Amino acid sequence: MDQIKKYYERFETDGNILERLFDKKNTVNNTYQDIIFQEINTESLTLEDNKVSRAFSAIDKGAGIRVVDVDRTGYSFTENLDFQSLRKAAGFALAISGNNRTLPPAQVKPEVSNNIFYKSDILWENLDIKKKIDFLNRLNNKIYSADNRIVNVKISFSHESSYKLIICSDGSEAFDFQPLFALRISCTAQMKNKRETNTFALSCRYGAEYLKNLDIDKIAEETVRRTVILFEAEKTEPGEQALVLSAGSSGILLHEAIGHGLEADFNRKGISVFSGMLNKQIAAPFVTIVDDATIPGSRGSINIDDEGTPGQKTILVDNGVLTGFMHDKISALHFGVNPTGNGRRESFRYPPIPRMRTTYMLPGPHSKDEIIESIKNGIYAESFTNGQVFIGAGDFTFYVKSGYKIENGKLTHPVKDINLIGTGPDVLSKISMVADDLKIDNSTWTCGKDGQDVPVSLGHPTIKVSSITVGTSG
Amino acid sequence: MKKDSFYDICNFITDFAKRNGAEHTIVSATNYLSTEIQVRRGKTDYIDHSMQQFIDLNIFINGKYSSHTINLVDKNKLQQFIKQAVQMTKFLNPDPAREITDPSLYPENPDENPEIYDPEFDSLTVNDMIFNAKKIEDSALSVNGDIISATASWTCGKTEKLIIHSNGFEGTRNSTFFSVSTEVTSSDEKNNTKPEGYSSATTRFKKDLPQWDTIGKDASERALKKHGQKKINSGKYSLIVENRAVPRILSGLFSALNAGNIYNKNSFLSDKRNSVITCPALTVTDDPFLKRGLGSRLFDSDGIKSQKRTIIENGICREFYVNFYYSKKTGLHPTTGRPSNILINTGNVTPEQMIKSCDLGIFVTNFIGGNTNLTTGDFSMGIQGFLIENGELSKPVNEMNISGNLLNFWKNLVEIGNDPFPYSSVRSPACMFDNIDVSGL
Repeated sequence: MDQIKKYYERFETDGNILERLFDKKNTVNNTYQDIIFQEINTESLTLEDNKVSRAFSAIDKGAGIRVVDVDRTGYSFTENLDFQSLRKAAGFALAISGNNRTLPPAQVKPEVSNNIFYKSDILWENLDIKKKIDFLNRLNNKIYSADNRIVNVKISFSHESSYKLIICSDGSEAFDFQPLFALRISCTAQMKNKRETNTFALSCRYGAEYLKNLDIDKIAEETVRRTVILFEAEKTEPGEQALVLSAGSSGILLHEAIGHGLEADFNRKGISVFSGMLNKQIAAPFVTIVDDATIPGSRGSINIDDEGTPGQKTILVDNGVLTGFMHDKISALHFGVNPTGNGRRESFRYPPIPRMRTTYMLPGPHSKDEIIESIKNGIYAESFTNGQVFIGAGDFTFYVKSGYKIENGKLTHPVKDINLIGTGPDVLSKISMVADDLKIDNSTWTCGKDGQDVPVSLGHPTIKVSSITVGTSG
Repeated sequence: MKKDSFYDICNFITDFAKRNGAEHTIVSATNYLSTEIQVRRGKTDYIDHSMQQFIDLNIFINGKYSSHTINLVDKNKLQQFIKQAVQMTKFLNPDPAREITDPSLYPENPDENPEIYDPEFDSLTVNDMIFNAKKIEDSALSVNGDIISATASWTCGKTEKLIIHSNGFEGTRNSTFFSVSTEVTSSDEKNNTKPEGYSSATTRFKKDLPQWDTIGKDASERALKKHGQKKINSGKYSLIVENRAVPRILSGLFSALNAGNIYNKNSFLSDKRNSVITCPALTVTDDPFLKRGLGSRLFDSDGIKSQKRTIIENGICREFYVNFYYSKKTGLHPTTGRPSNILINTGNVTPEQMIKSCDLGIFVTNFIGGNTNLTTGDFSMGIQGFLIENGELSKPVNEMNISGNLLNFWKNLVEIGNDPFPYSSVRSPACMFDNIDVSGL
């Protein structure tokens, strides 16, 4: 309880704020209300042209107030935390309430979170800036000295500390401190007249004590490796091919092909290609997919979501059967289930909606070698940049930055810049092998939906998709 | 913040930062007001009405540069924040190119009216917006077909901003925008899928919005026309890209024209100034003075005076986008750091005439995903649209990729339409390309 008092003090409020903001006798009798108070302190340093000559900092503080009438949402936020400003925002949010109710309002029994999936012994903002600059300069030197073909390096080092206090009319009250660190490197190499650029990134929810765990040699080596290998890439033929997704970052397949389609707001509206497929077999029996808030230190982990629901592990596909969706409180009420802790938002400026956390597939019965050996002609996809999905039709794409051609069961030459396209249910049904080498990727994955960006993570064992449409460039 | 308090706060921050060691500053104060309404099933599904205010502070100290944002206007907290910001800047490595903009580049009349502020904004009520959004949804649902869901949105916003540079520039930028959109999901039971259709329009002035029923109807028709979409054989096809989809394929070219990418050896156009980069039929202009343009402005984020520029002239690259910092780094003359309104020269044919002239091709209505390797110009992206056979749209296609190199792609441009899309800062007509690699089956 002492801890929550610190949050009350930070935001100059208390646990009865909703009662004071909303007149119980008035129009709000049957609505659900919540308020989030948030302060985000952000800093970043950029190394460009061998110098850390640019810095950024920001303080963003405010409160967002939501009124939910069954499944309709009124939302407003204010950056001034005085009572008058909060009251004004509450009035705007209340404009949603009407007389069109057919269901009782959301009354989910609140759970209390004791989760500690991340902690911060040293706040990033308290770490001496000279140490950060020194880290960047050393990393820059290491990358240049790793290969004489490197002609440009840009590195950004950023961190945020986010303090959240959430108070809901269903009785839940929660607070959380969410640290987030990100390192992003862009590296360009030149060989004769050819130039290639690739990126390396990592992210976590640890505090500044994590800096000593960062192995500059390994980061530099990997950044350079994935850049210079692109010189060796050859063109591959377009069209339908077998695909092997390497362990780790190929979790982007799950994120785009199935993850978004299982966010329950789309299913509440019946507009996802997966709506109506609950309890049906949608993949092979060795395919189990989860969305998990509980991985220690992961970019996608959350102790609580932005509605105060504890972070948890949610099974989406169990042995090939679609078993559940990712819920916020609104969709949970609609489906008559408990919220799954997926109600997330970019900041107090936005209402929470169902979002992913760390989405991955559990290990399967095959081995990586076995999978590669099973393919006569295909692509082994290793690193990825971005993807997109149309929820209804299920069309999704993701972009392979680098990988290898597979010929007669062996990785032959590198390939690059390939867009893969498919439809979610079709690709799921074509996952024909899953290896035992699950790896969670710690890159800076950021998911965009309804104009809101949230940090996520993803993971995958090596898998085989029997065929997918490959677009190759160059 | 009221107007006078804008000046008070900006001047206070400038003075305080300089007293604490800043050599120069750029300070801006912004007020932003927005309302968003979404209507679904005849009811308001979502209302968001919010106000925000924030301060941006840029600090220059002998080749060291930092930028900062804060949304607290409490002077005590501001003072503490500014002190820390100045302190942080002093630790950085100096780079002589990090200088405040040269005053000779500032505009003479930075407060002229660029017609991007609609006074009608202030008289709009939430009830008007709900009423209008309902009409849009009605029009979407009036289309015959199996429609699962239609969500109509009405959004508008107003920005008021004051910018003060410590070396003598002051400017204001007040603007409004109005946006309507509809998202429709339909049911294609035969193929067990739910194709979506989306249509939207954004303008600076409310009265420039299209007839609202056209947006709803258009979204529904787009969804329903996708029923039965399938991938087709890989091969070389002619491609007719619908006007509203062209900006996506143009964006790779524009990123490569950015001096930051050129300086960082990350642009395939770095040595292409005054060289041919597209087919000779293409001329692209950057026009910051376009009446009511979504990208219109009298000065850019460095305070550099706006100027109309021909970026690509008859296929030849004429200008790069060079902000003040990269002008110092590259030695190129500063132009502006980012595009304003992009105008593509229009041709004489309608998209329908283009389709009629095509024996075998794809009419592209959407791009999905994909990416461009800016260093090489290689790209690959997903497409949706319709197969064209013997001058007719024969069937909807999806799950296809196009790929190639952007230089070759734009050299294969063979026809430009007469239908520039008016509701975007990129006003492009439909464009037809020959001989494009498409992968599917």
